[in-house]
Order: sequence, then C-alpha cells, then structure tokens
Amino acid sequence: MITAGKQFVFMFFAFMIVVLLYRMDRAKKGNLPWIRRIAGLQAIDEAVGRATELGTPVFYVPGRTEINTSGAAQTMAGLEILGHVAGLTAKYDTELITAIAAPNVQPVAEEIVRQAYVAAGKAEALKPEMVQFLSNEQFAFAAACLAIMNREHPGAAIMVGEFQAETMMLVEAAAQTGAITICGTSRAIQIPFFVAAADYTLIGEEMFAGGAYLTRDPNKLGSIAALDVGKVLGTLIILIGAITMTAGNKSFLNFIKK
Amino acid sequence: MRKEIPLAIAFVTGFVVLLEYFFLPAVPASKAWATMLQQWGIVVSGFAMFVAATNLVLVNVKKMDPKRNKEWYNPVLLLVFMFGMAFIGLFVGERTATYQFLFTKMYQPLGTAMFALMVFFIASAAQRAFRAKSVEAALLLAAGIIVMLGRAPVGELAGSWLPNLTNWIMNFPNVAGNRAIMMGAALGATATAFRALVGIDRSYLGVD
Repeated sequence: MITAGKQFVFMFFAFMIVVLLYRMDRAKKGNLPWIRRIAGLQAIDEAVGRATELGTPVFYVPGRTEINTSGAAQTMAGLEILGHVAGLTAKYDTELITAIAAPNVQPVAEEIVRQAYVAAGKAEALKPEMVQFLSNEQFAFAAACLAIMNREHPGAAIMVGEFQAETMMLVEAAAQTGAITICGTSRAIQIPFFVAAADYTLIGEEMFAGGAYLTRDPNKLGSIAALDVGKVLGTLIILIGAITMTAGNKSFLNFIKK
Repeated sequence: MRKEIPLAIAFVTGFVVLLEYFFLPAVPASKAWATMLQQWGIVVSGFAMFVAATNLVLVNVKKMDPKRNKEWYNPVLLLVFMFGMAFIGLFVGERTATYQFLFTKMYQPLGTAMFALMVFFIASAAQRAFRAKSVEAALLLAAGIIVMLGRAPVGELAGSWLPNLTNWIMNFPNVAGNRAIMMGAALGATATAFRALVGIDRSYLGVD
C-alpha cells in the first residue's frame, strides 16, 4: 500500500504528526513549553530600535526561494519573522525595505507587511517601496541588494530564509555599511558564511522556532516542543544504526530502508 | 471566505502531493493529480511575475525624478533594459542575434563579474571572523587554518599529518555538526509544513 522504500519514512512522519498534535493540544491547555533564549531572535527588537534611533531603514530579505519549492518552509519562516519586524517598524515609524527575489513571494510579503501596518494603525504609512521585487536572477538580485544597502545605509539588516551563493555578498555588504546583521538559514552549506560575517545567526531549526518565539502562539510553541521528541527519536535511530552496523548486523538498516 | 478558500487550496494541494509521495501504488491516479497541481503552480507563478514586475515598475518610476533622486538614470536604465529584453524575447525571438548578443555579451558577463566579486567579500569577512577574541573564535581560527593548509598542496610539505588532520576535521566534527543541523532543520521544516497544511499557521496568508 505504501510506496516501497518510503514505509519507514511514513512511520516516522505519522509519529511526528501525532506528537505535534499532542504537544499543540497540551500547549493550548496552558502547558507551554520552555524555549531557551535565542540570541538572534532576541536581537531583532534591539536591531530595529537601533535603526529607529539612527533614523535609518531596516533592510529585510526573506530568502531567495519561491514559496512552492522544497525551500518553501524556510521562506515561510522568513516571512513569519518579517511579520514581526514589520510590526516593529510600523510601531516605531521606521522605514522598512523588504527585498524580494521570488515573484510568488512578492504578494505574500506585501500582504504580511500590510497586515502588520494595519494592525499597528499605520495603514497610511504603507508604500510600494516597503516590499520591492528586485530580480529572480541570483546575481542581479545580489547586485540590487548591494546597491540598496550602499545607498540607504540600513541600521539593521535581517536576512532569514533560503540563500545560495549570494549569502556572503549580502551579509558582508550589510556589515560594511554598519548595519546590525541578523541572518538565518537551514542550508548547512551557507551557515558558515553567516556565522563568519553576521552579528547574529539563526542556525537551522532556530529560524523555524522564530514564529513561536516571537509570537508566543501556543500552537507554534507546542510544535517546537514536538521537534525535541523528533530529535531524540532521530538520535536513537542514528545510535541504533551505528551500533548494529558496527556489530555487522544489517537488519536495522534493512528495516529503515523499507 | 478570504481566508477559508486559500486554506482549503493549501490543504488539498498538500494532501494530494503527500498522497502521491507515500501511496502511489494504492492510488495510481495521485501521480496525475500531483503533476497537474504542480503545473498549476507554475502557471500561478507566471501570474505572480506580472505582480512582481508591476511592483518593480511602480517603485522605479517614482525614482526617475531628477529633482528627488540624484541617480535617476539607474531606474531609467533598468526599465529600458527590462522592457527591451522582454520586447526582443517576445517579438523578435530568443534565438536571434540581437537577443543572444544581449544575453551572452551583457547579461552573462555582468553575472560572472558579480560572482567574481565574492572573493573580496570572503576576504573581508574572514578578516573580521578570524580574530581569536573568544574560545569559540579561536577554535574557528585554528580549524580554518588547519583545513586551508591541509587542502592546499603546500600543506603536504609539513608531512602527512596535516592533510590527515584536515580529513579528520572534515569527516568527523564537521559531518557531526552538519547532521545535527540538518536533522533539526528537517524536523523544523516538517512542523512548519504541517502547520501550514492544516491551517494552524496562516502567516503565508498575511494573517496569524
């Protein structure tokens, strides 16, 4: 019934769904899980505050990936944090420049920023420049971001989402203009660039925790708690796999390959 | 209805794609459904390009005023080339010498030049990052020096221990760290996707 080779994946997936539902239900009933302090997310308010004090804009990039690709979850995490940042810029009357590379992210980002400004009672402050589509070509987009940062000298540059080779250019250009840089991605190959060049880096799952951390929404907090169960299970699978393979027993390997 | 219809579309689309991924032998028709939905996604993305291009024109037309913008010629150039490329591509043809000239002699070298600039950004970032200001930064610095020397031909002059140490750093601490990040990221992506699928997370609709 289940496609060959995907049976174990399905079991893991189904287990995670059950745990997610259980932890979200518990969180809704008031058993909110504790989430450790995440410096990168904590620094967002400080970064927007700094840009406000300096009278400079906040520059935001929610990744470069379309919302209907395998990197969509990262784009959505970036958009969730954009909602929070837009709420802050609306509250403090700070200029916001959101750079968009994926055409189908443009209307979503526009709507998120619009909702944040409406919620803050600042609908009249909305401008098309707040969410700018630059280019869907990698280096044309990077060049446009560099130009904006060099012209506008943002006080804060926040980049959360899926990035590729342009990572280093964007974050280093932001650092050179004197911005506080907060970056996040779960692409393992790009994380070192962010770690080397950014002031704060959201590594892997930290960016997915952003929405829960910033909004304190019980459903989202519950789902973060469920991830810990998944990590324990994943670690156990790795350990059992390592022990059985070291002992020359392939039965566990064959089981997870099913 | 403004929220319910997009949520229903997201749920049905996600459900069909999952059905095709896990239960293709049981529901063979799911492959055709999933392919159709993916094609619809491409069409919708095509329309999104119009929305994005409209934003690009609106933002740049405002910047073309020489009284308000000293660099007014940049948006003019952008729009001339944008509409010029679109016109030539649509009405003259992508295989024509004009289009090929613009693409291979202008667009591609510009992209390559941007990519080449990366080396300066890397050097500048490395100069800031590789300062042993803390234990973590010192470890990063030490690992960076060992891996760079071990990967370069000159590293072998110091003996085989340097390439071996480089390989050990790359194959053990590096892989362990990467796998931990990948596991956390994969679970985070699963949770985000599930929340979106069942309509708990509506941030992609601009509402929460």
